[in-house]
Amino acid sequence: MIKIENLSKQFDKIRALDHVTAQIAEGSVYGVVGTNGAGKSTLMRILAGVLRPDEGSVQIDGMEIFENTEIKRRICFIPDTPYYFSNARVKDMMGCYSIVYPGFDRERFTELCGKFELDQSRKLSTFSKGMRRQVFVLLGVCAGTKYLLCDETFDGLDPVVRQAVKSIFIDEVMRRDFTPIIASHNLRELEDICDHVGLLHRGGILFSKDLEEMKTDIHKVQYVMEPAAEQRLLGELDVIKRETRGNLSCVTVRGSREEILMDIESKKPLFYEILPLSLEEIFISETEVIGYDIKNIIH
Amino acid sequence: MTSKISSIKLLREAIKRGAAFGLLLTIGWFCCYPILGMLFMENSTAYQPIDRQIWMEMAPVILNPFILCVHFGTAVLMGILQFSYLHSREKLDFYHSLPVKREKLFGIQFMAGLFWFAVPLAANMLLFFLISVLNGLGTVAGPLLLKCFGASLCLFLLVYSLTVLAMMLTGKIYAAVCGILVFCLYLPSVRWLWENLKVFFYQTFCPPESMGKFPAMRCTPLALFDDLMNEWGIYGNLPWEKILASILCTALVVILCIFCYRKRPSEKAGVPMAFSGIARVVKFLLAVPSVILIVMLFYVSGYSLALGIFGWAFGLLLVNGLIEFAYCTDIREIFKDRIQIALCAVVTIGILAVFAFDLTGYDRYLPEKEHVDSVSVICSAPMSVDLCYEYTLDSTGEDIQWYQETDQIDSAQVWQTKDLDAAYTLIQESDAFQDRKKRTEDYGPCLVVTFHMKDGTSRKRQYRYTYGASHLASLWEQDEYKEILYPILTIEPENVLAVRVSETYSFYMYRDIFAAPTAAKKAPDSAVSFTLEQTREIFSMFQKDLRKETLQQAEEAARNGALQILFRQEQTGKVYAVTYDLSDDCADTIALLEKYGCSFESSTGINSR
Repeated sequence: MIKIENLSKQFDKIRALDHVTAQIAEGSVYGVVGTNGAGKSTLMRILAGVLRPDEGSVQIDGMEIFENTEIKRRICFIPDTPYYFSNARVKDMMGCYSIVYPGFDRERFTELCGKFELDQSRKLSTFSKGMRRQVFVLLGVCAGTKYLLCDETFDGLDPVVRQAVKSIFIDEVMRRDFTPIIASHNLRELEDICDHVGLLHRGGILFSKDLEEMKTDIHKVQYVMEPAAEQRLLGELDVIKRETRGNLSCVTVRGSREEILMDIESKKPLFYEILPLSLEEIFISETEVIGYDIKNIIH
Repeated sequence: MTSKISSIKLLREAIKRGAAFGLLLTIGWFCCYPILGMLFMENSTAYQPIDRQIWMEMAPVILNPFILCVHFGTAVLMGILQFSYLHSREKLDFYHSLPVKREKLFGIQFMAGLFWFAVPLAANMLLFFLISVLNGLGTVAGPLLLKCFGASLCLFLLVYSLTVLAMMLTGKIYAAVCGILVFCLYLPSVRWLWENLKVFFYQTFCPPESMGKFPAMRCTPLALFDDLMNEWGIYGNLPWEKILASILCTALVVILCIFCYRKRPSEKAGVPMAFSGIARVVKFLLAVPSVILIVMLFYVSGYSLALGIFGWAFGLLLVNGLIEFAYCTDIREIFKDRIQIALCAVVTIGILAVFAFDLTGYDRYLPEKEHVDSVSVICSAPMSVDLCYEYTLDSTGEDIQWYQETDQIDSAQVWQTKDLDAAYTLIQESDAFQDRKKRTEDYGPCLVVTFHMKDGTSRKRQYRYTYGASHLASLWEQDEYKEILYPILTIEPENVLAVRVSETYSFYMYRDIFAAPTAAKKAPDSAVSFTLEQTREIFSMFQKDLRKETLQQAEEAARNGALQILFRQEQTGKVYAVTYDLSDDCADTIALLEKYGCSFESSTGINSR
């Protein structure tokens, strides 16, 4: 369990984190989303023990992280621009990680490199940016740490690789005590990986929720029905957003799927269907409720 | 146990990463030691010199200025390479997220750098030693190489640790390089500036013979560099005490590095100064002496107050602008720190005012008599001679060879008195105690006074007197003082070997001084030769003339030529030569010389006035 309490960090006159409080449960894939400059990287660097917080605390499994090697052994950090030694090959970095992280699984790393078609004898400098990210994700996964911090690591990965990484993450979560924490400015890229998301904005967390929980609570319905019946329906539903195109109406409503369907069916619609909601739409809806104009926050 | 194994593995990894630079160093040391060594061996074994000579000749081969410069540069480069990760966010994210404590990380990086310096050096020195053994010089080269290795290691460690400290305190490479320059040059430069301000502004300031002994001048790795070059490279003496001091300094710097590393915020990678708190102090400490130096340069260029003021304004803006530009690399922000500029302006004006208006009363300082034990006085003018030359006589006793130059007046020869009233009266009549406005630049004699305090310390001042001042007459007329001024007065005529009248004032003693009329050799020029009896008579007369000479005569008398005197010092048996002016006040000596055949108009070509 990662417990962030009242965390603040300032760089000269810029306040990067402003009294952030959040909890990251074990065994989940946690996504930290936010715009550029929202404080994601700062939060990740504090979680990795690179930066010392100005105020507040970060407790990982009940202990402070900064300069605590015992806790740092449980964390592997993949920054937005991962560092590799000059002229290092994949196997050199594996050697380094295996020294630093005693739980490093060399066999699994070799196996995963094979799956991702990454040549271990090749110099990292000759890889493309996306391939380098893949190497570091695999290094992070195989480090055998309990927490894996990925800062913008998935930005730029192609959908196939992203899916592959997702399945590795799920596999790892199932196999052992593993909690990946992924920071990204792109909601769409996190959608298919994370099961818990926190939105960071202007140095503070707007909210932090379980993705499935959010999906079960918000629904998007499009329908065609009589105007009078529609008026009655809108009065009964907890409508977050409504759009109309001719006779076709589309509403985003809060509530359980069953209750919403019951309300709609009772108004005898000519047509209706429940549409899948993207993470972005859920966020727009949730943050608008809080009072933020999310369109200006997320991409 | 796991932790220990991990450290060794981490060190091994760090060493592997420095292999490229290490290989370069190995090639460099190979050229410096085995190759240079072989060249030396070929020359030295050809004529089989004695061990001491080999030692003396081998020392510069092993530790010469070039090699010391290489050591110095290697230490700086190694420090930058090993700790460059502190200046890069990407690298820092990697290193500081590792489950390794900062102290341990520091130790690993530090040791890896040391390894790549020491191991190739030791290997090449070993090779050099083997070559020496094959050439039969093993017994000489072995201890020498061992000492050289130790000395090189000490110099490396000192410079290396200072470079690491500079890397710790900064967040950009250029700032770290500036930091290394500051560590090497700041204190000596400030001390030099301070001394020169005193020379420039204080009339009574007595410049030290050598600034090298000041602690500030020794607070730099360049001092060890200098000692190793001079004491070891030239004289073959390893400065052990300085090497031990350098080891102690290195230890302190390493402790400071670890302390700084613990406190160093990771986010300061890419920022010139890693500790914001000390940035302003550093900027201030750099700006103030630089501005003062610029003011002095401008003022000295025309000795005009307007130029000095312009220099101050120009220096203030230039120096602060440059420092700020180095700090923020934004031309638009070079004058943004107005507090810094204002503070610098006030402090520089304050310091210059203290010197220019003598606000501390330096020139009028006179210690309380009850604290003074005695006073030593040296009068610098009118001095007819200040150097003495030592010669050696050949086996016949009729020829001489120049041996070495020697100081005639040293600290033991100054006039020391406990008559403080007389000394103080003399001092108070000097120009320093006159109205500053009435002072003249037409200075004549100058007294260098050392106050020997009862607490064992001493204070040195110099006092100037205007020409024609009679204050020094009483001092001048004392036999004791005159004997110190003219050491020739203490020489017995029996110890004088020869005299020669010379047309010009020459320090060099020609061999023809022995060309007596009875000698087989004749004087090669028109100089008149004297018999031994004549020589002693002339010398006695010259001593009498010198004793009679008044201060006024000494100041005003015209030169008629020079008298060169060769004498043997009774105590040591050494032969010295001195040259004195033959001025109008030596009338009796001139008359005697004319009696023995010297015609000043004809022989010296100088007409007496």
